[in-house]
Amino acid sequence: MLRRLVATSLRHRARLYLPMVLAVALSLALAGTALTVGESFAYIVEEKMEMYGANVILTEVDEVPAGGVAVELRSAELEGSEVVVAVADVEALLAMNPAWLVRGTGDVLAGAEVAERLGIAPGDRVELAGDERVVAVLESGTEFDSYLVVNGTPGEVDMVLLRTEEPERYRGKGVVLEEMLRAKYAFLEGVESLLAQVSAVTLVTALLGALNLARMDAGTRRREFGILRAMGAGRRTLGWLVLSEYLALALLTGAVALVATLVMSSAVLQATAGTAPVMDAGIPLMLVLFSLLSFLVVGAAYLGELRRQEVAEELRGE
Amino acid sequence: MIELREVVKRYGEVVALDGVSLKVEAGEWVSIMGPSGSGKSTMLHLIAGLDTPTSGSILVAGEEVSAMSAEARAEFRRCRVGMVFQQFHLIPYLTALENVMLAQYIHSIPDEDEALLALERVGMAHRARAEAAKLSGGEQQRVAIARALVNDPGIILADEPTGNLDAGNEAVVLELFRELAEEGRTLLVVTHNAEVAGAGDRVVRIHHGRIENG
Ligand SMILES: Nc1ncnc2c1ncn2[C@@H]1O[C@H](COP(=O)(O)OP(=O)(O)O)[C@@H](O)[C@H]1O
Ligand SMILES: [Mg+2]
Repeated sequence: MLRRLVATSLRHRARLYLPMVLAVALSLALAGTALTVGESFAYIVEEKMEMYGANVILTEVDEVPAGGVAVELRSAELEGSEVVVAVADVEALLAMNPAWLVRGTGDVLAGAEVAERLGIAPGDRVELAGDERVVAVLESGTEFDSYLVVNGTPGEVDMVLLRTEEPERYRGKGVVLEEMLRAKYAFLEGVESLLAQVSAVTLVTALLGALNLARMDAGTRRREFGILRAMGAGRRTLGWLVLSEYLALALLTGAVALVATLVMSSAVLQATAGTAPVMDAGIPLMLVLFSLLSFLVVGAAYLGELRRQEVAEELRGE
Repeated sequence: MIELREVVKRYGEVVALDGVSLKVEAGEWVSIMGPSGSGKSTMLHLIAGLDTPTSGSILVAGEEVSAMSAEARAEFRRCRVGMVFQQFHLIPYLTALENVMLAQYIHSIPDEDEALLALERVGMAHRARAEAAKLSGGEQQRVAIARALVNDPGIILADEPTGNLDAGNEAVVLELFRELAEEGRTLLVVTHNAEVAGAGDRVVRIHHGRIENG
C-alpha cells in the first residue's frame, strides 16, 4: 500500500518533482564528472607509465646511465615521406619494454602509426637511405609508435629511456616521465576544478530551488495531510509517507545523476584526451549518498512545513 | 459514551464554543443544528481530537480525549472514529478503492476484499477502480462513508454530510446512516437539513457557541 501510495503520489506530482530531480541530478552529475575526469587523469598517467616501461625520460645527457637505453632521433625519408628515425640498441629497448608488441621480424621496426600512415605491413620491404630493408611493425602504445626504430649505436643521444626506482635522483637532469605526462594532461585538471566549482554553485542553487518547491508543495498538500490526520494517521505514518516519497526521489535522482555523469565525462574525455572515462565504485556511491542527503534535507523541510499547519482548519466544512 | 463538560474553545478573540456541556449515549444518533459560524464543526473536531479545547474536558468511553497527547488522539481517531465531511475529503488522485484501503493502511493493514465489501455496502463496488476526482458528489460521499466505516468504528462524526448533495443522493446517504445507527454505532451528525436532523434520536441546537436545548 505504501508503495502504491508513493508511486501514485509521485506520478500525480511529476510536474513538481521532475524539475527537482533534474536540477539536483544535473548538478550532482557535474560534480561526478569532475571526479571522473580527475580519476581518469590519474589513471591515464598511471597507465602510460606502465606502458612506457621506463619511468624516466632524460634529455640532453652526457653519458648514458647504466641500465638505460640511449636513443638518437633523426629525420629521414621513407617511401617519399618524412619520418623520425630512432637509432637505438633495439634488443635492449625491447628487453626494457616487455609489453611492447612486435609483429613480424625485420631489420627495421616501423611504429604502428607510421606503418598505418604509409600502408606498411609486417614483412614488407622498404627503401631506407638507399638500402632495402624488411620491416616489422611495433605496437608500443608510446611515442615510439610514431618512429621508425633502427638498430644501431646512437652518435648523438637525444634521450635516454631509463627504468629506475628513484626518479627523484634524475629530477632536473631531464624530464621525469610522470611530470611529462602530468604536463601533457594538465588541462584535465583544469577541467576538473572548473567542473567542481560550477557544480558547487549549481548544487546550492538546485537545493535552494528544491527546498522552495518542497515548501510550496507542502502548502498545497495541507488538505491531503489534514485528511490523513483526520483518519487517524500518526506522526510516524505521515513521516514514513514523506520519507518514502523523498527516498524514491533520491534514488531516482542518483540514477539520473549516474547516467548523466557517464555521458558527460565520456564526452569530455573523448573530446580532449581521446579516452573512455575511468570510474570506480566510489563515484556512483557518492552520487547516491549526496542525492540521499539532499533529499533528506528537502524532505525534512517539507515535514517541518507540514507540522506548522493546523489540521482542523483544513477540514472545516464551509 | 461521549461527554462534553463546560467546553470552551477560543481562537484568539473569537469564542467558537462558550461552555458547552453535552452527553451522548452509546448507540445514540444526535443531530446538531445551528447557524453558520455557531461552532458546530469546532465541536466535532474537538470530539474527534483534531484539536483541544481551551478549557473544559471531553470524555469518550471514559477516556479524556481532551487531555491526550496529539499521538494518542491520532490513535483514538483511527481506532474508534469514522469521519464524514461536507467536502467528502477523498484523496483526489487515488481510486475509490485506494481511498478506502488508505484508511485500512492507517488503521492496520490494507485488505482489498474487505475494502471492496465496504464499497459494496454503499453501492460503489462497480466504481472501485475509478479515480476519486472523477466521481460525482454523491458517489464521492458514498466512498467517503465506506472509508469511514471500513475499520468498524463505534463512533461516526459527520459534518454536513449532505450539504453538497442533491435530494436523490441525500436519501441514499440518509439510508446508510440509518443502517449504521441500527448496527449500534454512535452518530453525531451536523446538518442544516431538517429531514436529516429528524432521522436522528434527538436534535441539539447550538447558537453562538452555546447549546440552546440540553
Ligand atoms: N482555526 C480557526 N481560527 C480562527 N477562527 C476559527 C477557526 N476555526 C473556527 N473559527 C471560528 O470559530 C467560529 C465557529 O466556527 P465553526 O465551528 O466552523 O462554525 P460552524 O461549523 O458552526 O459553521 C467561527 O466564528 C469561525 O470563524
Ligand atoms: Mg461547519
